[in-house]
Amino acid sequence: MIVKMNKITLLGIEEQREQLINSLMEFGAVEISNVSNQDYAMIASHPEVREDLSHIDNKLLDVQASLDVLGRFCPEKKPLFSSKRTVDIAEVKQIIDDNENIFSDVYKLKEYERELIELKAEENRVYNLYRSFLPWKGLIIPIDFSGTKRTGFTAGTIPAAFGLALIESELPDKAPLSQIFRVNSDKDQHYIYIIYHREAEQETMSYMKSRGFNRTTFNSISGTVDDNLKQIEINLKQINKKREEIIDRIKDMRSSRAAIEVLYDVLSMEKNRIEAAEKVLKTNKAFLIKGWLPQKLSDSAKKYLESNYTVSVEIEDPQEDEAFPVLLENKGLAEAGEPVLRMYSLPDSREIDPNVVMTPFFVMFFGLMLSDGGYGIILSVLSAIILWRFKLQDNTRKFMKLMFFCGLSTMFWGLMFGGWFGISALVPYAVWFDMVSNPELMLSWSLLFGVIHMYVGLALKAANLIRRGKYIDALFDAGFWYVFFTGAVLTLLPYAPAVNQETAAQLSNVGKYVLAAGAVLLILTQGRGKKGIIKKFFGGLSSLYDVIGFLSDILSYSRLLALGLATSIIAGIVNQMSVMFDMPVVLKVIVAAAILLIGHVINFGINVLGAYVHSCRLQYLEFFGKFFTGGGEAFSPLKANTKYIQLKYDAGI
Amino acid sequence: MLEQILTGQFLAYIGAAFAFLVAGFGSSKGVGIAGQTGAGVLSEDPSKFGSVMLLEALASTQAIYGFVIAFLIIGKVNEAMALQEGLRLLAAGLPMGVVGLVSAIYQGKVASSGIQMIAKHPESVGSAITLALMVEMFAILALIVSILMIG
Repeated sequence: MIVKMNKITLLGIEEQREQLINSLMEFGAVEISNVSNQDYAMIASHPEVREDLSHIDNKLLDVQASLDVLGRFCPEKKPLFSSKRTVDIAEVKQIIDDNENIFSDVYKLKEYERELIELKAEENRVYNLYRSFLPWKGLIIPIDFSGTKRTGFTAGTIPAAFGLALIESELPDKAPLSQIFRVNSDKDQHYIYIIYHREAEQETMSYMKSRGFNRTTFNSISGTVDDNLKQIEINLKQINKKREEIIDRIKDMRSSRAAIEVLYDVLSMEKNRIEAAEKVLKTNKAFLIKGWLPQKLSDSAKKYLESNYTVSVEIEDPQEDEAFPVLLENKGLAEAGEPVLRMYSLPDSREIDPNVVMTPFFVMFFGLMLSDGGYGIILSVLSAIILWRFKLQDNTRKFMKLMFFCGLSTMFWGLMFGGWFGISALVPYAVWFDMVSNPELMLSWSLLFGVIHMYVGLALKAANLIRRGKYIDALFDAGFWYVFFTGAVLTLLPYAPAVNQETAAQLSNVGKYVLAAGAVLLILTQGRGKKGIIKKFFGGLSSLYDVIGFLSDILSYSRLLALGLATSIIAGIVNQMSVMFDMPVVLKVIVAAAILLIGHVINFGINVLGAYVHSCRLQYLEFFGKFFTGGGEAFSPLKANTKYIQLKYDAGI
Repeated sequence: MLEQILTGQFLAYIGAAFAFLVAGFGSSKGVGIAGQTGAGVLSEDPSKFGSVMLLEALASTQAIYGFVIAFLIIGKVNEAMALQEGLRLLAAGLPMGVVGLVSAIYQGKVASSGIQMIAKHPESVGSAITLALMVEMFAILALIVSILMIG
């Protein structure tokens, strides 16, 4: 059901504005809408909030960053289904008073993060140096050594492609007063140094260059390579030690996480408040708030506000065609379908909430497609345990409820088709018939279920039209289609598999007349929006084309058979495979148990997923396509929109 | 020589192998396409794992259908099978194989785009799934045609 909404208009004095918005936030059931100031531009304006907003956004970013740091280095074990921690308003006030201390923690954490980033950069720099030294390990001459009075010393690389042997053999001829020494080699190059007589420097160097020699220099570093390497290792160790110290310090701040989380939520509430204030219109002395609230809360809200504030409260019904924010309120089975509907779209504020009708079909189709009673038991038990043991958020709770009902429905169809974990011995006990050996019969039933589903969709279209007082449209746009579609279904009946051909032929004869009658009625009425008799006629004629869409929609329900069959057949295969191997008894039992467990878990997972998405699709396209407008704006009241905590007030309205 | 190889049994096995091989190839490719996009999106926002996984898994059903058809065909095979009977089972494997191949690849592409869509608009996961399921329809019809042909 869609909750009826009232428009609320508050006219009060400016100095109470902030407090009143606080009260509305505590109340948590009024959506504040934007008041346009174009009529009052001379005297009134929106409060200037941009600066406050960016200020608070910056603070939120800082707090979030500090929480991220904490989360990275001391991760919290989260339960599978997390719920918000309940925090007393007194505790929140205490944290607000203490916010300077908490902010200092926040900035400390940020500072630690910055230090960690710097350490990382330093480590990279040192490590690169280490890598450039490594090939020179074993070079005993200090690297800043440039030679003696008479001899020169140069270190460098030559490409491996040239081959050291060639150079060693050529060097005595080309530059007699020099000697080459190899330090190291890898697959790309040789690391060498040359010692030469100062007088032979030029010829040595020009020869070496011709052989691809590339001089290596170490900027402003002295000492031998080995000493340097040792020093770098010490540096790296120190960096690591520093890092660990900082991480330890971050870990020590674990205990302030709770307070920082509360601070985050306090800030985001403040942000909500400021954003709400931006929609208000104010003059120097007065303010104007417009909004929506659920009808049933109107009286108590009016009474509370008028007795606590100097304010005029005006409550009125929305106008005939005015759209209002949509809030769904359902009970029992219908409530469980809300997540499915929400994933598609919220209904338009003026149409019927389809949950009551949709959810039973969803659950039924889910059961048909999962089709194995054993899996149904598991699904129901699992979701019941989750519902019972965990404190769930509202949407998750509804989803689990849906899964519980889907499990029950699967058990029912398992009973009908004799499917229990694919055990073939249980198939003969099927209450109805065995799907695997009678796929044609099941196909016919699937299509029939589809026709029923879509007829109900058409009925909802009629109901929506009747609700708006358009009785003629209901007759033309739903009633006549019933005649036409029924004619089409009856005419095509002999083509359906596994039907009694004699009866089908008789019905088909009747069906032709129904089809013709329906076609005439549609041609006469469907073009009524058009101008001129010819346009009306062709408008009506072209609407007959919809029968193609209708028939392909029916065929779409064959997935009920396909997915149902897939579950039972694969479950049966798993069972067969588990006893296929010839082995000693003990081993055989172990292997069989393992295959059964893994196989059924996979089959269960895939088919629950398949049944869910395909059941969704049948609602979205085949069912909603017949009547649903959708596109409703969700009701989003001003309230404590928190991430970590659930606020507990002393007393509400 | 040829008569010895070209038995009804052999033809039926080809049908089973075709149904699974080809549909399985399609699913591998489709899931692969969606998975690559998924990994990219997850590297930005790991919290979307649930819906990304849902979309990635969609193209895997064709392999499952191919498996079901292969199994149903293998169940019908016996040594003394007539040549015509074997040919019929071979033909029954074709719709699932071919349609499975093409639909899985295209479904993977649609799912991949769907994943990119939910990277920007997480709330539209419903429409992303619905779009990808439109492609699935043809695999389902192929499965039913194959099942009806096996009889």
